[in-house]
Amino acid sequence: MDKPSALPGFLIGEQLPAEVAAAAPVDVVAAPAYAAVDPPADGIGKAVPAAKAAGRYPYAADRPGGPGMLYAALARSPYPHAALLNIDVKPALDIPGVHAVLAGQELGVTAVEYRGQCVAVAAADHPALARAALDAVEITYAPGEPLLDARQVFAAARRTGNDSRVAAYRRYTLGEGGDLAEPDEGESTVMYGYEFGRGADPAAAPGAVLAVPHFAQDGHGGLRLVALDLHTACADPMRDLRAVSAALGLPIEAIHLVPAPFTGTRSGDDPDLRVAAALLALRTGRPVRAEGGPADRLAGDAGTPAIRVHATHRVDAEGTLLAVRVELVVDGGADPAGAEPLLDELCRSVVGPYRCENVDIQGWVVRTHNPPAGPWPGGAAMVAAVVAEAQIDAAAAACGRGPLDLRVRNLIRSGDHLPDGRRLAGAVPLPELLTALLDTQMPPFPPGPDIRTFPGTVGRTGELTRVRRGAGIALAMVDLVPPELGEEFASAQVALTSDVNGPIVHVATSMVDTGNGQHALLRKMAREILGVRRVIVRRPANPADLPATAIGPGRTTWLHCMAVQRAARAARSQALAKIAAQFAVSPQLLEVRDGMVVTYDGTLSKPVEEVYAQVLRGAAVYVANGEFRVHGSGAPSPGVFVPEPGTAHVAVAAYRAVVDADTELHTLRPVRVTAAHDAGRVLLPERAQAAVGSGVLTAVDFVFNAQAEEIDLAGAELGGFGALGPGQFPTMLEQPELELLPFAESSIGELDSTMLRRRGFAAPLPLGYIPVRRAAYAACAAALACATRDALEAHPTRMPLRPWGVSN
Amino acid sequence: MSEAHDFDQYDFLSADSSNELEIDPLAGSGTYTVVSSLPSQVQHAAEAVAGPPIPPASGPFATVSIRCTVNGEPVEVPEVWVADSLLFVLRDRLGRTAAKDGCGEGECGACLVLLDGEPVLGCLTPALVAEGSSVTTPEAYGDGDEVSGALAAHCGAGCGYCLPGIGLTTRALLARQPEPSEAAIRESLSGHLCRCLPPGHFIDAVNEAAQAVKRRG
Ligand code: FES
Ligand code: FES
Repeated sequence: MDKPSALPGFLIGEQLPAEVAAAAPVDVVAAPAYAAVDPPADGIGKAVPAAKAAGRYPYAADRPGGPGMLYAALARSPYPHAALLNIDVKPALDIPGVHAVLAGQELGVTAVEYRGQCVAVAAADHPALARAALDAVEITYAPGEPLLDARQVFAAARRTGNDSRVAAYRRYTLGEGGDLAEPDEGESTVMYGYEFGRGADPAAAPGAVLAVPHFAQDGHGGLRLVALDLHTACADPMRDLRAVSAALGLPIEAIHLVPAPFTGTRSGDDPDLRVAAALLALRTGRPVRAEGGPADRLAGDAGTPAIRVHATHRVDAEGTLLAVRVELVVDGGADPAGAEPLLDELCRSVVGPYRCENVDIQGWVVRTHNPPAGPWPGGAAMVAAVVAEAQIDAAAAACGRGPLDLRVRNLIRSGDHLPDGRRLAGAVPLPELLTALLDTQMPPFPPGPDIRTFPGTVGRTGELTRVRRGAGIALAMVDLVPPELGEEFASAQVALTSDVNGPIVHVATSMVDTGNGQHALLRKMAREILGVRRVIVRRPANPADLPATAIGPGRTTWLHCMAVQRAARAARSQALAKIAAQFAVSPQLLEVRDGMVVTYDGTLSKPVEEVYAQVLRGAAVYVANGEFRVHGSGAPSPGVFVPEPGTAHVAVAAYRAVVDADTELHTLRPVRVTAAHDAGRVLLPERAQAAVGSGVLTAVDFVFNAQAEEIDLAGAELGGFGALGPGQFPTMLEQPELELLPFAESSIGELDSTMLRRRGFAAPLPLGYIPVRRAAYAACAAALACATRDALEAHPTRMPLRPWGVSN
Repeated sequence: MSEAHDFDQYDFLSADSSNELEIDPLAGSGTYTVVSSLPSQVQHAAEAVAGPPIPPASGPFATVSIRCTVNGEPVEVPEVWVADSLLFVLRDRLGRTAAKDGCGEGECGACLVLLDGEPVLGCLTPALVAEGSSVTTPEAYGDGDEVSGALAAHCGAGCGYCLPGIGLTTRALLARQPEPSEAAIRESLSGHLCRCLPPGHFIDAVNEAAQAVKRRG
């Protein structure tokens, strides 16, 4: 375990110990000392928020690299598809102050496979020198014909029968499949094609990576690499370490990944930046910082595939869903393997939370010359929700019923089957959420009197008589443990001991605190189980001390919390056994509740501080390891959580969005989003609320901000291209108000699961786990789309919404 | 591959707009002397960086030294490259990292600092304009004042990258309007992009700070 003293030293930015650095003589304030430890991790506590507000929280870009640090820059290919004929780095290396230039082969690049691929990197004394060096590198490309439109690639594959560019295929059918022969009397069919662009944060903080090599004498007068510290925003050290080590050809043990706090809602740093910083640090033997710019953001971060969905729904005269047929194509970019989990989830959930007996869903991933598809956390759920809700609205219009009516009539229940054949298990409290939602007030209409509340906001304000209001309701259902999930696990160690101030708990976890309070959650968990107020959580310096696998998006917190829970319980039973012996009661009768040690019959009830003081005398320590494994399917074995065969656990949310549209000036304004969530079980309300907020924000950005796809990397035309109005993207002025209803907590804890099972229900996931953010993202995007549809009285089929007047 | 390089933001350095760089030696504290050859150096360097391609063997880029006060403390930064942004000098040369590098292109407001009391975007402001001026960074406020306290209390669950800049804007807003309306708060913060939290958190924080400032009187 890490030494407890390792943390407090590192409140970076606490300005700056003087130690004049010989290699950087021009610095007026001495270079601050370099340190390689995790940032203080307490996102929801007091110290860290204060450090954030004061600008002292150590993001990767703020970390001092120490004397002689160099700046890296990346050159990206202007062509999506090209051979690299010739590269001459000599002119670049001739520039004084340029220390290293790596290109082509040295980066493992022999041909350009996608637009924006990194083809050369440089390190220099100044960022501008590094960029100048890249400008001086002479690269001769032989551009080829790029394949950029997934639909065309797919159509060509179908036509020619050559499926070398089709990387994956899925098909799910239920009942008769989506048999859509001639409709019977009174039946209606709605058929639409939907398109989803590459979403990108308009101005997310670019990534920053700091690589610091450490050398030692090799005994022959030379130097030997001992370790490479890599500071980078990272949520999953194992996955990222593996990727970097493969790219560098260095053993994993040689790389020390130091997680930096996240900036914005990114899912980690651009791998290109990591590799560039690391390679250049190894080459120059100096610390190297790589910061992403706008071009990096587009190529590296906006790794979100464009998706096309063709959906056909049939309803009868009453509005009952009879059949659904969906075909969809995902652009996997240059590395389509990354898009397969997305394809899986999308196919399984595109019908939405509605029961339908005849379903036929087919999906493909194709390989193109676009940037590789990244994980796009929540993306599949969001796309599925937008399509499902749009189709329900369209079907309601077609059979002349209200959209709410159709939703209620077809609502899925616990026990119903999903398109992949699994049975829905556990609570699905959609009716309750919907009722709560409908009980809330609509915002006043018309907006005003302050013009800043009108569509278009300041300076683009029209007449109130032209403002039309739209409201939309959307439901979302997010899958938690997909059947194709391979084994994932996390581990933890909990030690109950005491110091001069009384009992204290040390938790060692494999989970990174990305600055969002993950460790606060673990602290809460340990506190609850052991009844001790003072809990210190930290990550071991060497990740190998607490093994964990790479964990897919949305499950990290769950797995690590469970590992801590198990370790804490094991430590507790050791302590309780000792206590039981002292009080001459059976350990089975003892429990810790609200900071008290009690027996079930109430004969004993003492504050933990007092009881622990007795059993923790001397240097007594109760240490236990805990581990939690999860597997998508297969036979359950001890210590491995596997959902009951054929069952699915879902998170649900119901949203209402209100959007005003100025029909004259063609501006939109999202007015209010009302959110009702099942949160399973809320451990830390602030964290759950922040998760909803960030999901909503991401959804608003995605729906109203068409940007990245329109941008030509070479031209770098970076203006906002939003649906809100000319040149507008959602800022604090245009963001809707978020009304978050009290969380429903459907998971009633593990203790009750036997009882649930007896009554024929599946147990909730251990810990009542539910990834709130993904559900928020999905439901909010769908609700905004529905509300916009209502306000415009049109059926927009493209997300992000195109600005008015730009054809769909 | 000019897309990888953001000299464009220094376009005004080229020939006809040199008067934008005129620096009043007395603007800051009067003790400094002006670096006499500044304008021609600027001119020279502007040609060096703006005329592609950069002649690689033309020697180091022109540099000047800058004197100003940062958070009340006089500093002299030697060898500032003429196209350096104020943000770069503050963060990388002076170690004042509270103003953040968010987008580098004027969109996000993370880099906000005060130049002679006026809010400017550090990423778009050439460092040279700070000569003789007084610069205030978020560090000047530590975490002692009402605004940082309220931001920490209401917005701590986000990543925090936008907070130092938002803090400066909030102080400017409250100085102007002690009890701002919700719309006024939204408008004044609309130059800051927060990627983590919806506006409600910030509105609450600003209201709380306004109350606290009022109580203090
Ligand atoms: S960094 Fe200056 S506005 Fe974004
Ligand atoms: S808190 Fe993350 S950007 Fe504002």
